[in-house]
Amino acid sequence: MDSFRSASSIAFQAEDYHEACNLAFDGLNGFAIGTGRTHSSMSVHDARDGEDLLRALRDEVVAAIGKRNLVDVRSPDEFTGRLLAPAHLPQEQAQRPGHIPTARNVPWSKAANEDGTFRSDDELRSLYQEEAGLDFGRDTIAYCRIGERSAHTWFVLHELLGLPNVKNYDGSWTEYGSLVGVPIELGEAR
Amino acid sequence: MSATPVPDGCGAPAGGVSVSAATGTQAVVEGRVTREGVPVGTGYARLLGTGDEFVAEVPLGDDGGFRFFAAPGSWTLRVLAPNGLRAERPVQADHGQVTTVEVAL
Repeated sequence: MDSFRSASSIAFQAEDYHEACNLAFDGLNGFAIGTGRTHSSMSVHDARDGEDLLRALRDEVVAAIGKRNLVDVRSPDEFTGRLLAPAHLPQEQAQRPGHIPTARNVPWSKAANEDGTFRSDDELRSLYQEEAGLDFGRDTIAYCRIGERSAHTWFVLHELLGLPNVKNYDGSWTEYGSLVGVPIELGEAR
Repeated sequence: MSATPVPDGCGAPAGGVSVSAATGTQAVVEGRVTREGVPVGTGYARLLGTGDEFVAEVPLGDDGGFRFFAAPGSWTLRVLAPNGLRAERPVQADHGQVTTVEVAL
């Protein structure tokens, strides 16, 4: 199972929404399971080969620079190039630091409350549109280091907020930061 | 310390990744969480970076241990344990150094 299929399965396990949703995101251990909310039914989605409506590959990502929303959901320290990986992992990596030009940095964890539940629709729209400056009229590609954290953001944008064309960049920074001949930005978003 | 090798995915193993998986150039932040002298083996250690933003989280090991691989500079360590126990410590990390933080809740 590659990282995208794994990640999309994780995302779809949270397929009931907002008020009732307790997010169990075992792949990241980022948030504990929420408490005190009604727990609704869960389902598991097994991604099939060829689901390219959901998965972006590198050529599509390079072509999207300056044209589509690119959402980098890593921590600000990974986005700016201070870290190459989440800090629970060794920082010895092959790739260069930084982010894809024109990407906005919205850490995946900002979509959730402290108790692990998703934030409200209004809060999520404000987060992505007003704070980060995403144009909801454009198509969107989310990425992180290997596509797990960005599967969470894909779920938020596509399933919770209903944006029609959202893809997860499967190779994410592990691939992009290792490519020769592609542009990379360091520092804050421009 | 009950750390384990580098996992395949993005998540952290309990106690953190073993130092043998890294090199001597890492800026390691590690330590143990105790309460009244007893290791706290249930809970999480978080590292917060620029703007107190979430950077990484490690489930505590059986011995209360955690380990991060940071970059040189200032960080904040936050510990979350059952019954609402929390602690925060400022941490300074540097390349080739192991910064040890003992947290007594």
